[in-house]
Amino acid sequence: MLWLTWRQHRMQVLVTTALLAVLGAVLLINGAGAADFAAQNAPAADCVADTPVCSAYLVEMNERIRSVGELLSWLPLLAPAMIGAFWGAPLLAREFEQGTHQLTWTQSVTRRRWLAAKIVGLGAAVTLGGLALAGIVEPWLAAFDVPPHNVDRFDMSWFRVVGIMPAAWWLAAFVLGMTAGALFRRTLPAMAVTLAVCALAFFGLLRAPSSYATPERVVQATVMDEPEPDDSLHVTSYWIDRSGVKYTAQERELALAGPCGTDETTKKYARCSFGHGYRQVTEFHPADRFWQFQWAEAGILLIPALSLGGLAVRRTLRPRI
Amino acid sequence: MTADRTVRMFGGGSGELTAPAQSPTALEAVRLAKRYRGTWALRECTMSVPAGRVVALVGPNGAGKSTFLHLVAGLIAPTRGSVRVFGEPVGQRAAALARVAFLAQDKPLYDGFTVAEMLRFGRHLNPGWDDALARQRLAELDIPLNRKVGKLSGGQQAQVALTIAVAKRPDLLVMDEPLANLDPVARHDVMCSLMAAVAETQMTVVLSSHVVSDLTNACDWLVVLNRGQVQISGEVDELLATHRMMSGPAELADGMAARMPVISDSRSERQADLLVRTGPGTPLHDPRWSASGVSLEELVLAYLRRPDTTSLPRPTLTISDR
Repeated sequence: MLWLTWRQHRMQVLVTTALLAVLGAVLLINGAGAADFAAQNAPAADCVADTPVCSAYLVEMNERIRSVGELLSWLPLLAPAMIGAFWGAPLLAREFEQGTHQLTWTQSVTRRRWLAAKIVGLGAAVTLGGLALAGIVEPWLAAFDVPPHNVDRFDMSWFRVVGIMPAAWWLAAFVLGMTAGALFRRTLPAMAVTLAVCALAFFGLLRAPSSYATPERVVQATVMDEPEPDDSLHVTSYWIDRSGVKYTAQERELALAGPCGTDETTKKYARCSFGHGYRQVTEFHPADRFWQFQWAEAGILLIPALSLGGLAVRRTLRPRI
Repeated sequence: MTADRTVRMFGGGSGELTAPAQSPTALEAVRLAKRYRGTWALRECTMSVPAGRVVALVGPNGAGKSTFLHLVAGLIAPTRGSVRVFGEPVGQRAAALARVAFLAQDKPLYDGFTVAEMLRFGRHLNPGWDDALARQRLAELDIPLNRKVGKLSGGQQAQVALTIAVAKRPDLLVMDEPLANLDPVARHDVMCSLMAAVAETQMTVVLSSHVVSDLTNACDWLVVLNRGQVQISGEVDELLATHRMMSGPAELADGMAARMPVISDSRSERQADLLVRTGPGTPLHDPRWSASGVSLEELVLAYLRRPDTTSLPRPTLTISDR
């Protein structure tokens, strides 16, 4: 059975593997270059941010990570959509479309076994592919995480290319594509629906992670250098006055323009505004929530996908054509 | 054929039948019905076919032939009634699946596979796969194993599909319009190689067609489906022996029609031609009538034109009296 699954879907497996390999090579070259550069040029970790040696290093590292990072930022949208459309959608739709289910379902293997081999075999391959993507992205990111340059995998730029996110997205998209194929019984409509739902899910969840838990809240009454601990996920910051009324930055500026002046960058200005009873509130998720958030999003994707997939499988196994 | 087999195959009921070991029932449908979105494709279909037969399932387009064959192959489930193959209900069990091979109308194959890969497909999915048989058949047919299935001609694709069905070593081979979309040469070749396989393997075959002449030489059992119901089910020789075209004076036709079941009735001013069903021993008394045999095509056509008549032949009693 596994042979049949492989023979029918080897094109997808090979193309995906090749693309992962290409991406791996690109990241390897880029990451190795960055590691080299960092090893030779990294200033002291606690260098003052605006000194030339420090900022030159940061600018160069940012430049290096940006070139490939832009490419990577498309992956959380494109990769699941492609997996859903090319791995998932044709799985059943092509069989129905070409009538080959009538051939396969009348061999000596039950539909249940046939479908199990396909779903388990390809589902495992897709999951491995997603884990492999995270596996090649994480060392690449680590190469840039040389102080004072800081790379944070909780950052929304990277959150969906590390950990279990690619695997969860890919698997959910695969199951979604299979479900659409079982429902529509035609490859092209199934692909189109899969692409649409993948895009909806991506944009719908784009800013969702900050709401996966109640953020930690820090109220500043005095000037603090860094209210948020390292590597945490910033949610929002705003000002309140003594009675707790929220102010946007602009409203506060207007209110303070008389007593404190207009130069907001100085510590004097900050002290002045605190002196007038304003407090700065910062909401964030500490870094140790990374895995909790990864699993939360995996659940949000996989629970509906697998339930729908289960219905599609039941529908397919029922003998009705 | 033995008398007891005859009784069994015409027997209306199902449960009370105890099949003798030497001639099991290959296919048995009891009040089988299938409805698609409110229309009945098949209704109250009851029939029984003994093992070892080559069964022609004929009927006009839309008669329910495909539905019936899909039910036998287990691809769809009946709305009502049941269908059994060698006494076992059709269903999703590997053992039951292994006994039936099915060749769908479009002869679906995986176009991107080579012929050799299609054989590998058969080997992987069938424990009883006969690889030697498959390879020998394809070699005889001159079909190259390394050619992609999609690049073969229609006739060759039909042969590959048939080869896969036969090499599965089924007890029952079900084919839905196996000759449709084939040119005359390919029709002939496919039919010949099918008959050779039947002779070799002793399997029971059910094949459908809406062209009766395709099947007359090959089949020894006839089932006629019309408007979702069984109109005829019986051994071909028996059917031919029990139907006569009676020609005689028109004024005597009513009297003749009253004596035996009339399938078709064409009268001119003076002469009447009645296709009647006779008992095997029914004597022809009246010298003013002449009787002649009918061809299978005439017989089927006559029945199809009169779908409203209670036309399922029930010579049960007459034959078993023999």
